Amino acid sequence: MARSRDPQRALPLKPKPFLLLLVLEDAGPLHGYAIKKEMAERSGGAVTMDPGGLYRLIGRLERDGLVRRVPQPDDETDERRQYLAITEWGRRVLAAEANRIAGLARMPTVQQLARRGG
Amino acid sequence: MTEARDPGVVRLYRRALRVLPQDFREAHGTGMEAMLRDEWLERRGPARAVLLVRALLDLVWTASIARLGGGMDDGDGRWTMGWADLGMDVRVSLRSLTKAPLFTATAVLSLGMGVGGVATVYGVADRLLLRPIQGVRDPGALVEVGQMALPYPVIQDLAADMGSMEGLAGHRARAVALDPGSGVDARPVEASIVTGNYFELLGIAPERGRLLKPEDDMPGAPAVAVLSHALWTEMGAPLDIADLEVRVNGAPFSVVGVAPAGFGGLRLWSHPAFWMTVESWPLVSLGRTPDVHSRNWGWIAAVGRLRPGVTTATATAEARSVARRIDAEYPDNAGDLDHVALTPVRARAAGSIEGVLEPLLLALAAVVALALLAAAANVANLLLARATRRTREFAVRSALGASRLRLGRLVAVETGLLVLCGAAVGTALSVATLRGLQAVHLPEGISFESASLSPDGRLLTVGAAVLLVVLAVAGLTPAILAARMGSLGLASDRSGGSGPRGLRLRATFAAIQMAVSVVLLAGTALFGRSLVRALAVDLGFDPSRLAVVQVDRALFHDDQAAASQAFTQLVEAMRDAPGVEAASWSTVPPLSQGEDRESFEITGRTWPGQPPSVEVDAVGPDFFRASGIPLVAGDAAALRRLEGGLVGVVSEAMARQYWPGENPVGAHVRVMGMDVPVVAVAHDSRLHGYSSEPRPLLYGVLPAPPPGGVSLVLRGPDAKAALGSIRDLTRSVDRRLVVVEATTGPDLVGLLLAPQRVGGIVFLLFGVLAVALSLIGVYGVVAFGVGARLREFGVRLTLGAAPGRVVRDVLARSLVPVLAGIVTGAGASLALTRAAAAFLFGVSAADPLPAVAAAGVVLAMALLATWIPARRAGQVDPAEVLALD
Repeated sequence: MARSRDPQRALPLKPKPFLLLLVLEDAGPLHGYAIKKEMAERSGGAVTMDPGGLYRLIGRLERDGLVRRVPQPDDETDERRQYLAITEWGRRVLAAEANRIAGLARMPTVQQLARRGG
Repeated sequence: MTEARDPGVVRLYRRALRVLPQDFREAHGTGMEAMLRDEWLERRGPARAVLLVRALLDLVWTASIARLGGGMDDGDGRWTMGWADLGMDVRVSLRSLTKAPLFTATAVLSLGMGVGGVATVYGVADRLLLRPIQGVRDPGALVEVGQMALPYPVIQDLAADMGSMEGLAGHRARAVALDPGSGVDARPVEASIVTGNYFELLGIAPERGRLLKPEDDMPGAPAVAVLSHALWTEMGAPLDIADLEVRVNGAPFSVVGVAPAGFGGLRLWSHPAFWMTVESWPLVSLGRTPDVHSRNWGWIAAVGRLRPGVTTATATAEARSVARRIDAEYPDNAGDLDHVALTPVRARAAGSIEGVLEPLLLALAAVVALALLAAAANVANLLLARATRRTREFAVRSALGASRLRLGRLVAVETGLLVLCGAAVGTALSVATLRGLQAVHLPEGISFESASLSPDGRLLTVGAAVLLVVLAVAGLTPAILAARMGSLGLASDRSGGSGPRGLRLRATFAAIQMAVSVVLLAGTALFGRSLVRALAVDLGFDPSRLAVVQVDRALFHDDQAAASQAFTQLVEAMRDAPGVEAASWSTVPPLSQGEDRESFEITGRTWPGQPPSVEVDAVGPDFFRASGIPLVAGDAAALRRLEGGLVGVVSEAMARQYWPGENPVGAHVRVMGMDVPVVAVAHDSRLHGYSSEPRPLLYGVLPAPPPGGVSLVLRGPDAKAALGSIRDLTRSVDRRLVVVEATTGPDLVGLLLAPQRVGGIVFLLFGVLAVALSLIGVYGVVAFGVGARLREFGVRLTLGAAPGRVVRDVLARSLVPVLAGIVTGAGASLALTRAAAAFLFGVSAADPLPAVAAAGVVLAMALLATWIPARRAGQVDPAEVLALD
C-alpha cells in the first residue's frame, strides 16, 4: 500500500469506519469487544456491531492499511483476543476526514440547520 | 481463560463459525469468538438470548457475503459484489463456452431466434395496432365514428345531439400540389382537411403560432394553414411565421402556426404536410367545386371525444339512435348510419387493411411466443444436459474449495453470457427483419415505410423483459442443479436431469420444439407455394420493357386546357426519346391495385336488380401498344381514328361475363353518363391488380387525359434509361408538370410480390433454425435417455433380448413426444393458413398440403435424430456397463 498517496483520495469515510478509527486513535490498541463498546458509547448507542459485521469491517480496513494487528498487552489473560491499532496512514486519513467534517460544520447553513435541530 | 472453560454457548458459536469460508475464518474466527465470549460474560438474563440470536444471524449473513465469491462489505455493513472474482468467472465461462462450440452456437441461436422473433412481431404490432396516437391529450377517450366517410352535415348533427361526446371533429386526407415558395419546388403532398374544432378536440399545443380554430372554418374566413413540423423544418424552420404564405394548388394560404413534431394526424399511413379547414377546400379544388355541405355525399371521417366515464358501447347506442332520427328527417343522407359503431382511435392502419393485418399479426405473435418458449426450453435442455455432464468437473472444483454458491454463480455467469450473445443475435435479426419489412408494399398502396419501424425504447423494454423470462426459465434451473451437484461429491455420477422427472420435462420441451418447427415450416411452404403461384400467373403483358411515370398536374389549377396540352406534349416528347418505342397514358396507375369502379348499362339490355359495376380506366389511344396488352378482337386502327370521340375496349373477363358466347365488338355501353361504343376486346392482364382471377375491366379510350392524376406508360428496349432523364424532360415541357414517381415494370411486379417473398423468407429463416434446434433437442433427449439406461439395456441384452428389439423399444418411446409435437404443430399451422390467407396468392385457406408436408419433413428428420442415439442402445456391451459400478 503506497503510504505516500494523498489521504484526500480515501475520503469521505463512511460513519462506521470513521468511528472505528476514532476509537483506536483515542484509546490506543483495543480488542474486538472493547472496540464494539467504545463505538456504541461514542455514537450514543446508535452503532452496535455484531462480531461478523465488525470483523468484516476490520478485514477491509486492514486490507486498506488503515488498521493493523498488534501484539497483546502483557496483562492479557485470553490469547484469543485480537488487538488492533490505527496505522500512520489511518491516522492521516482520519485527520483528513475530521478536517472535512469540520469544514462542513463551519458552513453557516449547516450551523443554522444544526441549531434548528432534527 | 482457556477454551475448555468457555460457556456452552461459546463452544456452539465456535462450531458454527465453520460456515465461514476458510480464509475468513482463519483471519477473524478467533477474534469473533473472543468478542462473543466477552459480551456473553458481561450480560445477564434475556439480554444473553438476544445476543445469541443476533450473533447467529450475523454469522449467517457474514457467511453468505463471504461465500458469494469473496463479496465484501462496503464498510457500512452493506454488501457489494466481488468484482474481481466475477471477472474471473467470466473468463472461465468464456473458456468453457468456446470449448463446446456446438453447444454454444445452438444455445445462442435458440435465444436469438426467440428474442428476435418476439421483438420483430412486437415492433410491427406496436406500431400498427397498439400504440396510442402521439401528442394528443387523453388519447384513450378518442373514438372513430364508423369506418366510412360521412356527409359533413351529419357530423354536425351528431355533434349537436350526442350527449355522450365532448365534441366531434371531421378530417380527410387529400392530395394537393404545394408550393411553399422560397425556392422549394412545387410538389404533390398530402393535405389534411379538418373541421375548425379538430385541434381543440384532440388537445394539441402548437409548436409555433396557433392551430386552426372554429372561426377559421366560417364561410368567408381567410384561407389559413397549419404546417406540419416536417414541412416547417424543410422550409428552414423560420422563427417568424407571421408573413409566411404557401400556395396550395395555386391558391394562397397564410400560415398561422406549426403543429408539434410528434403529431402526424390520426392515420398511421398518412403524413399530412399541412392542415386546412373544410371551408377553404373549394378554393383548392380542381374542376368541379365540391359541395362540402351536401347531405348525399359522404366524404369526411369523424372523430369524437367521449365524456369522462362514458363507454364506447353507450356512445355507440346513442349514435345509432341519433342516426335513426337524422335518417328519418333527411332520407337522402348518404351512408348507412343505423349500424354505425364507435371504436377507440389508435395509431393503426386505416381502412380494410387492418382487418387483414390484425389476425396475421396475432397469428405471428402466437408463433413467435411459441418460438421463444421453444428456444428457452431448448436452452434449458442444453444447459441441463451440460450441467449433468459436468458433474465431475463441479465435484473437482468443490473439492478444491469452491463454495456451492460460487459454483452456482459460475453457471449463472455462463448462462448470462449465452443470453447476452443471444440478445445480440436476436436484436440483429429483429432489426434486419424490420428493415426488410419497410420495403414491403401491402395492398392498397400501403407500405410499412411510413410506419417507421425502427427499433426504439419500447421495443428494447420488451426485449429486456423477454430476456428476463428466458433467464428465469433457462438459467436458474441449471444453476440450482449445479450448486446441488457440487455437494454430491466425486463418487456420484448421477444427478437432477437424468431422473424420470427430468426426462419427462425434457421430452415435453422437445415436443414443444417439434410443434413450433412444423408451424414455421408450414408457413414457409405456404408462402413459397403462394410465390410460385404468383410467379406462374400470366400477367397478360411483358413487364420487362415497361416503365411507368406518375405525373401530377394539380399546379395547372383550373387551367385544364393547358394541363391537357402540356401532358400531350410530354407524351409526344417521350415517344421520341431514345430507347422508347411507344408512349401513352392511363388514369389508373398500372399495377397500383387501385379500384375505380363505375356502374354501367349495356344499351338495349336490361339487368335484373342493381346495375352492374366494373373497373374503369381511361387510357390514351396508343395505350395497348405501350403497355404490351394485345387486342384479341376488334379494330386496333379504330383506336387511332378517335377524332375527339370516346371508344371502349373491354377485357376478355368482361366479355365472358357480360357477353357470354357473343362478340361484344359493336355493342354500346353507358357509363358515367356517356355512350361508349365497344370497338375491341383486350387480352386479360393483371395490370390493374394482381389477383389470381382476371377481373372484368372497361377501358375508355380518349384522345387526351381527363383532369386529375395520370400515369405515363412507356415501352421500349431501354425504358429504364428513359426514366433517367424523365424529370428534366418533364420540366422542359412545362414546369407545372410534376413527376411523382417513376418505376420500371420489373420493379412494380417485384413490389407486388414482396409480401409473398418477405413472408417466405421470414418463415424460412425461423423455420430452418427451429427445425435444426429441435432436432438437436430431440437428439439430446434420446441420447440422454439411452445414456441413463445403459445398465438396463446391458441387463436385458445379457438376459437374451435381441439388440433390434431394444433399439425399437427406445425408438417407440422417444417418438411419443415427437409425434405429439408434430400433430399439434400441424393443427396449429392449419389455423395459421386461415389467418394468412389474405396475404397469399392463389392458395386456399383450407389447403392442408403445407401443414402435411411440413409435418412429413419434420417427422423424417426427427426419426433420423432419434435413430442415431437409439442405435447405441443395441450396441451396449453388457460386460462393460455392468462393470461400471
